Amino acid sequence: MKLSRRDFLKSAAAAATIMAAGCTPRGKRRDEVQTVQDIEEVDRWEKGVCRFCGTGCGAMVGVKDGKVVAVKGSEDNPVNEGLFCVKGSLLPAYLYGEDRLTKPLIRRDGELQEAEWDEAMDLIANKFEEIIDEHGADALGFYGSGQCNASEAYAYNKLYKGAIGTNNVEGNPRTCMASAVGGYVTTFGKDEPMGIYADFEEADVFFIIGSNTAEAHPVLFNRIVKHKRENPDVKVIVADPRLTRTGEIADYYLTFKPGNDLALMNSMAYVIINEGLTDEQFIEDHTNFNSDGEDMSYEEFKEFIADYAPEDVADLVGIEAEEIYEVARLFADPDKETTSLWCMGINQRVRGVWANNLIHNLHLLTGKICRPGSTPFSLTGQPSACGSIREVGALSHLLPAHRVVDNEQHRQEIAEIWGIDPDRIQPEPGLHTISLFDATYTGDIKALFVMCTNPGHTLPNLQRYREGMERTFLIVSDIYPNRTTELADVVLPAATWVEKEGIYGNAERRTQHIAKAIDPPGEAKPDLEIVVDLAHRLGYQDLFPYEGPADVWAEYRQTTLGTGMDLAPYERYKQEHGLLWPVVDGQETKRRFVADYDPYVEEGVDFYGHPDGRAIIFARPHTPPEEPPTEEYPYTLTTGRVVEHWHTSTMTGRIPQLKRAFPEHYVEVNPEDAEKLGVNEGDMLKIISRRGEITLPTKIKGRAEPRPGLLFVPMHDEEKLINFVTIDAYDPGSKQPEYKLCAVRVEKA
Amino acid sequence: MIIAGILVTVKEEKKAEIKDVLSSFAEVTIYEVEETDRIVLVLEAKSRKELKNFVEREIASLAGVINAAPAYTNSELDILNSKEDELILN
Ligand code: SF4
Repeated sequence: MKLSRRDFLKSAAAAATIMAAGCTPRGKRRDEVQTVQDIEEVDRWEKGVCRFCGTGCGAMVGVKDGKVVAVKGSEDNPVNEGLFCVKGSLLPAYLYGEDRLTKPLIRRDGELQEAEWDEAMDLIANKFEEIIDEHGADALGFYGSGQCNASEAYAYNKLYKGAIGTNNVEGNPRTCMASAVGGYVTTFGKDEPMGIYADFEEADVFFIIGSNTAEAHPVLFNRIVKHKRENPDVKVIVADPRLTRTGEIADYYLTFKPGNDLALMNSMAYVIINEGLTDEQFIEDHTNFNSDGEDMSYEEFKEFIADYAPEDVADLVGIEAEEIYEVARLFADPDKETTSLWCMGINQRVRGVWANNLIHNLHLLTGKICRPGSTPFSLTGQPSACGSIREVGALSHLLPAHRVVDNEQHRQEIAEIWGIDPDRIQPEPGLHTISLFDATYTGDIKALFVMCTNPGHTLPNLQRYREGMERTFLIVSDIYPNRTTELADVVLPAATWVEKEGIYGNAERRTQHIAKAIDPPGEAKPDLEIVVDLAHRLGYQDLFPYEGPADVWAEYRQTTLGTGMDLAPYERYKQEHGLLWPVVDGQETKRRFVADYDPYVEEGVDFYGHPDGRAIIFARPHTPPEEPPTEEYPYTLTTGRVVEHWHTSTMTGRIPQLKRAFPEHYVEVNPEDAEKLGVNEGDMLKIISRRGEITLPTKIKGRAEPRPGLLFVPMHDEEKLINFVTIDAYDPGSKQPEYKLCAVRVEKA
Repeated sequence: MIIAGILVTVKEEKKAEIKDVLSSFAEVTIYEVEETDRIVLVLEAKSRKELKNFVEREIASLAGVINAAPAYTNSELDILNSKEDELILN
């Protein structure tokens, strides 16, 4: 049989798809498919994980002539079972942008100029020593990422907290899921979901709030779509002030007034209680009630919730009372299993933790938790926000395995494993993200190391913090030039994804190994090597004896054993497509807090994160956004993702196909507002907040439609930074900023 | 040039109709499978936009389609600028 290379690749694509789907080929191309099945179109396949969202799809990476040329979904990975979304399917291209950073750069006379590694690392180490001598360890800061792998995050966390002696270690997950952490920890006493993705196929009802799952987590959305189409009785409730693609499968679409979701969920709780849809036995056996830190009785909670009758909040929430009744009844239907999903719309709020609590309330009041198909489940944006930040403890208040710095026993446990005096770990949390960057502005932070993230683009109220980054000694380790490297004093070229080995942890507690498939370009290095090198130059050789990620993992794993977040030995992850923690006696845990699944539970349900084994139902009152619309600023601005791009588009923007597919950002305007403003599709509109302004073309009938009074701007554009406009007010508990809502006015430009 | 293998899950009674529609696209090659609720196709897309539009507009919008998902992509012809040499496979 003769085939051109192109036809051969087509047959290989078909063969791989047929295999992923478990299909049997037939017809006239059967021979062709069967023949190519035995011929590798690449030199070898390596096991990896997609890095473009928190879903954690298994990816097999095809290498030819030392380059990644193909990618296919891992058939035996339960997350995606061989299938991808279009973003994941274009992974290889992001490695090969023409402007990859391949040499260290040092700013000299105002210009970033090429340098040798030794020179760059000596400069950093000397600067750090000088600063520590003059100003103390707290004048240093670190800002990492949910895209770092677990070993990298563990190493930098240890370097700062355990060796240098400052807790000023933050990371971009503070801006995306800190409120979800706060919600899990306050309600259940332990972070991260009890359920897993497999609950989707068991659910009868989905309650999706503050998540455009269709664009942000496409493979998970496809799982829901498939489940609903195969089971037409499955119902989907979507609550979002913007009508998005996720709404295409909704039976109920609640386009509530932005910022009023707490009232909406309290009102659902009101209906559930008043119509007797609660699971009284579950409430009695497994919950406590609390208001503002004080215990309260169930009766007192009922009094609190009495203010939220649908008729009383309908105007505030902006939807019909009857809709609230209907969705509450559906959510609580005792014959149905209900899964709730949420993401940034809930988390990026000044009361994000409370909003998380209220979702958990609905599950606890109805007992729809810890059983197949019934779970509250927060989605995450980054591939290892859970695995590398929440679990490793790489935020300013955390220590590994969900420990906290302000707990003496936790400090002692970690100090023992790190081989240091416990007093070396400071007992107070360090600066959280906004205060850390504010301290660059005020001069309290003298040097900041930024790894694998782009705060020069992503921080809210950006102008102040960009100025801060210019004032401080800024080190950036990344793969492409971006809006942060342009502010840096030293830029270090980093290896990425399959150019190095590592472990990611996804949103469902699944820990997965990524094999090294190719060498990084030029002089780029894995971030772990960079951190260990810096530690050695600072004199901490004894604390950083690691030869590679497996050594770091072995130490990190020790911190997890017996904590309920037990991780497996490194080798297991190399062999398998991920394991759900806790992994005890070699077995993963599909469902937490319930006997027969969770090895930490002997009988029934036990929320063992709290000493009495009970979860807490919180009375959390409606709280408006920090900046509600006013006469002067009558519109609300919200920002978010589109499917073609991810984060600050430093990677997806290098994929020519993605760039072409979504070349220009815009402001989405409701048609009624467009008419009021006298703007047509494409007209330039200036959006002005109390902090800054931006001019963008108007999009009236795009892929989504905000409700009247709401404007939406995608967050990815590297040129026109929407974060000059957004607000940096943050949740007092989680310290997560309220990206989702700020008041603006608009003018035709 | 991206060569993508896409799995389309369909309602059984609609498979023939959907297959007919999809086969009418020049850039699509259908690979027959025994399963009555699946269609496997290979798309030769010049751009990501083409791939995305095809999956979302041309496939997902068809009545009877349950799901459409890429399972494999190969960008070798772009990344390595490989020549389209003829292969003798057996
Ligand atoms: S859903 Fe997320 S992890 Fe999966 S392929 Fe798409 S971008 Fe990658």
